[in-house]
Amino acid sequence: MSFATDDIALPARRGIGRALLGDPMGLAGLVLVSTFLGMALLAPWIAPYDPIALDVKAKFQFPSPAHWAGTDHLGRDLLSRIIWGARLALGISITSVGIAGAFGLVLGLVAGYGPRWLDGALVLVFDSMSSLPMIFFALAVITVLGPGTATLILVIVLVSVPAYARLIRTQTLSLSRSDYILAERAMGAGPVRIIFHHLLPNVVGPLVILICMDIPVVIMLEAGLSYLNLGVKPPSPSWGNILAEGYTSLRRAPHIVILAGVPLVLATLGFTFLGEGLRDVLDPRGAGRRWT
Amino acid sequence: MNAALVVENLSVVYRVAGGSLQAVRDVSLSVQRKEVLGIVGESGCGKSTLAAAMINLLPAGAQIRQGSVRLNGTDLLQLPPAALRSLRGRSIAMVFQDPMTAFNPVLTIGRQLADFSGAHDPARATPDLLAAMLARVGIPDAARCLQRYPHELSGGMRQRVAIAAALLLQPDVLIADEPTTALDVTMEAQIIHLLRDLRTSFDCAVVIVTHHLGVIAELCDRVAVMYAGEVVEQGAVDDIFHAPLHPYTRALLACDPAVVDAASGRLPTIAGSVPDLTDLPQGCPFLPRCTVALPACHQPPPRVHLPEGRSVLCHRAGP
Repeated sequence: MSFATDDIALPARRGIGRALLGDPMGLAGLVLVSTFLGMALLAPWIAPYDPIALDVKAKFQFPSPAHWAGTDHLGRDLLSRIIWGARLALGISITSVGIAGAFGLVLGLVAGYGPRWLDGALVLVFDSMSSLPMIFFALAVITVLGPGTATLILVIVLVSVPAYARLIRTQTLSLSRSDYILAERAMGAGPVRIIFHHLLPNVVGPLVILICMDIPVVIMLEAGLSYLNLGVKPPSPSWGNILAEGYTSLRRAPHIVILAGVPLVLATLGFTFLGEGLRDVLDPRGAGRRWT
Repeated sequence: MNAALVVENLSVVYRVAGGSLQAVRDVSLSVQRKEVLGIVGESGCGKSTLAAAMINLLPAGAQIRQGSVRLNGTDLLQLPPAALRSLRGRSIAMVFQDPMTAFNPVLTIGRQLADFSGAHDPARATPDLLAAMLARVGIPDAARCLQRYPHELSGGMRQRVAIAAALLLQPDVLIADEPTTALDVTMEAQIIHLLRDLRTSFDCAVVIVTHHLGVIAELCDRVAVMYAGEVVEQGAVDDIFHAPLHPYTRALLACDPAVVDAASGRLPTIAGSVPDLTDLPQGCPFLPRCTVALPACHQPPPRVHLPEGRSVLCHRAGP
């Protein structure tokens, strides 16, 4: 009997990193995400060429020892553009979902645990925001503020906050009726303590998973807006720009779209796997369940 | 008179569709230090609502119509939220029915105990003091228990931890709402023994809400029998068990599973059911089920006070 309890206690106690390494899916996610993070951080040192240097004579080259991923319609080195693209894609997506996650967390907790009128008001705001067609909303904001990276981040934050806040609010609502919150109140805990000590650790797990799975969506959104010339301005090497430009010469140089699509797919998979792995690791009940 | 908790003329209603449900009606009780008061009654008689009102933690929709709950002289029902919070946990604490859901699943036992006491008095939140408290409620290897998550403990262990949490700040009053209902019989006996030991060593008043007469007989000094939101009889446990005066108390005691009717092999029951609390009759609410009713019982029953703090709400008990 005693050995069983020891075993059960084990997964919850070791660090998140070690637990992730023990999970094949989490490990795959961690490796992919670390690779892209490495590319993003080390772009100036590992990219073989300047990503915006033109070399029109070498345009539309297929992969070769000189250009491992070939070149685009202006002869720019595709591998370098993809590496720099990782920096743009991750920079924009992590910044924007990070900001959106923080706002969504606080607003959701306040709506879920706060007074009923505040909940009603916040839900009305979330619902009205999500009822706007995203692309028109984005167009409207970009028309007012002008295209650019900062506008893009603002648009993503505004679009994502209602979804995050609603997730957190639903969780908070069901948790705030649970016995242990009642027990906390019976022990004299105030609203601030209940929200930040007891509700927050319970709701943050699902949010981390949602955010991880949202990063690819944001990368796609950035690509879409860049394609419409409303996102990152060319010649900046965003993956969306590379895809958009590659699409116009799909028949002549199909490798551009394929090779620019691969990091998009891998980044999506990586962040999704990482999200799944984190879900198992962050929830101590999940860790215990695996042993029974 | 040195009562730790005094409930006076308390009435609580729930707003429901088409009227109000009178869950607690004109209840007066008191409990002294070192005394264990049992509140007993069948499901839906208002005993849990009464327990929640004692710590002013009523669910949404409940409304206090009248009365007071005085803890060492302070009326809890009139306190602003901040003052109420500083008393909860420190002067009055509660143990809940189901130990499986009474802990936050993502925090270790140690974190939660530290949080309970840290809210009032951070000096008491040291691991040594917490472990000592757990050892006092009979948790083996208390220091390691602090590192555990709630799901790693059994139901009985969790209820011990819940009791430790409630006693952490040495409250004057401990309210236990059906503390053994969710546990098996062996665990129930252990928890009752624990509560009996603790009440002498902690010098606090204990209120136990239960529908289990055995728990009352084992543990309590005084008992209040509730029916349809009212306390129909209260007094010392021995008096009530040996000489019940109210017909409901008598019927309740007769329903002991130990006295199965030898001929039929059936459990004795009380015929009929609890009256509708949204539409109570004028007279005695127990009248439809009472076997000894008088014509006078169509009028509200008088509260008859007897020596040694005993009282009965019945026409028959009158002079």
